[in-house]
Amino acid sequence: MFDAATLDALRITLEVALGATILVALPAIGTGFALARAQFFGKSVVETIVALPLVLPPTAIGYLLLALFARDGWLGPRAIGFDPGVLFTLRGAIIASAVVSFPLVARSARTAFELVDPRLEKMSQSLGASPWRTFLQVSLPLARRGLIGALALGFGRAIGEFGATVIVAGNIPGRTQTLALAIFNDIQVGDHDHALMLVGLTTVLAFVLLWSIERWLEPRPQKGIAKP
Amino acid sequence: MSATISIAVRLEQSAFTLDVALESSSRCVGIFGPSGSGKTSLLEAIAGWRKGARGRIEIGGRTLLDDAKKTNLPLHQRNIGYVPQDALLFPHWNVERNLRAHESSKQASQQEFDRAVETLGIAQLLARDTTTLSGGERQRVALARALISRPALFLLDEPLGGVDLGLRRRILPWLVRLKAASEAPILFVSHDPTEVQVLCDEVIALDRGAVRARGPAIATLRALLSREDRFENVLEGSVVHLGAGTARIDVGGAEIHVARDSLELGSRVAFSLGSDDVLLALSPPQGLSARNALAATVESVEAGAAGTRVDLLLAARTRVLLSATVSAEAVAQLGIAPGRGMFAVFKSSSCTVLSPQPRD
Repeated sequence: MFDAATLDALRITLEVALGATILVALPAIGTGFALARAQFFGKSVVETIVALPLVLPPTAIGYLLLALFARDGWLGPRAIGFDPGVLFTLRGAIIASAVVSFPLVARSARTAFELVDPRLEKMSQSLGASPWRTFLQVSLPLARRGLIGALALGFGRAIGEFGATVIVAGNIPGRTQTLALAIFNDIQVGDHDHALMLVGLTTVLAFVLLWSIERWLEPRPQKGIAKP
Repeated sequence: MSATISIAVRLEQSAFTLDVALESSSRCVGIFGPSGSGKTSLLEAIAGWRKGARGRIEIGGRTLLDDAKKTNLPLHQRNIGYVPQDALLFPHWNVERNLRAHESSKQASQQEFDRAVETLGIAQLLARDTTTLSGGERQRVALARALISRPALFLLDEPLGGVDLGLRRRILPWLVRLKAASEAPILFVSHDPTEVQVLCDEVIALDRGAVRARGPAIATLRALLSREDRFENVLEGSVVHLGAGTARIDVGGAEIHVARDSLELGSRVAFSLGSDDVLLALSPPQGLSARNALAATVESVEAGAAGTRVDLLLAARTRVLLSATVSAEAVAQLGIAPGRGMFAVFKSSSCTVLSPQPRD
């Protein structure tokens, strides 16, 4: 039904989105929890920095990552002693998508934790559970639904990522070319039929994903969630 | 003698500053006061739930908070059995998992677990989802959860803030059982004088964050509530006789008939009697259906807004007091004055047994 190049692009798209989601999960959930619960000096600055990738053009983010991982960059081969294999690789595409997805996941995770009654966390601690244990056995399970929604949003954002990915990972068919990059490529070379087919495929993928998220996040009575 | 509680806490709040000092070795201290007087804030400050709490808190010689020594134990090291008004059961766990919530930090023996489940009568609830429990059941599960965690101090907030008096009266016997099942001292918040009289040895009365009165439970409440229309007498004694429809209870020299209910001979029982259910007579009444006509001596007479409260000494040796509320006209006409011998008359059915048989 699809040609090999299209299947490659689809596979790479899913690999990048999944890899970015896995990469972003722990730091974004941790950041979301800290923003929801902790009071610390400079919190508003951290909030702004976390939101920054939402507003910055993805190409700007891509360029910063390129500079970071370049030979003389802070995380480049010369600084860390070996080649991290980021530039123009699948790994690079994953990292670029992760950075762009991070604010979306962290902000949604924050909302998910803010909906958990903090008194339940206090009760857990009063019963002897450490703060870390309380996070694992009370906060996390009670925020579960919102957190899965947050990760799905991050996954969706990574599927559509273009600007940062093209700069960090290039547009190499079979290696780093995702559906978004393949559509751009087809338009550049004037293959409008193929571009349209890819747009259709991407639309179906996005539709299924969004429909699943909406279904998942649909309001339904849930335990332990504070009433607004 | 119970572990000593030594507290001196200050907590700035928007409406007033909570400032409470309390030293006590009582088994159960009632914290009594109107809504918004700082009762719950005091409990939360002791539990460590309020960040701004300052001062010193010592339970049984262990320091939880001390500004001078820069000690401020985190919540999970305070070893407090807090049962808030809304019980705060973990909604994602069933009842049994809730009861085992403390097990990350310390292991209770199966024996202790079983004993707490039996004490609070929740064996049939263990597999239930907590969201399907009734208010009273939730409260009992929360009490059992606190009991199993073997706290150094219980903090019990009044269940459901007096929404449903029937429900509260059903919880009360379980609280009595909790008190009997543990040696840890209890701070019990309530604005129901009857509950406080049944459960507590000592009372502090809070008003706008400050201690307004303190002393033995019954005497303190009697003094605090002197201007209220109705005072709920709480008397305690042992069942000495079971008749056809009534039981006789010896409350320390005086015998009182109460509705028989499900009482057992020889058992200890507490019951309440509203002061406005008590009639006063100058001579022993004849041909009266009321089962109780007790000789008593007037101890004090105090006029309030709606009626006059007369405190009567039922048995001089044990100083059992009973309050009656009568009209000012009656006081004048009968010449009711301190020292006067009278008869307190009331029906056995006016006495409401408060313990000992808890029911679901």
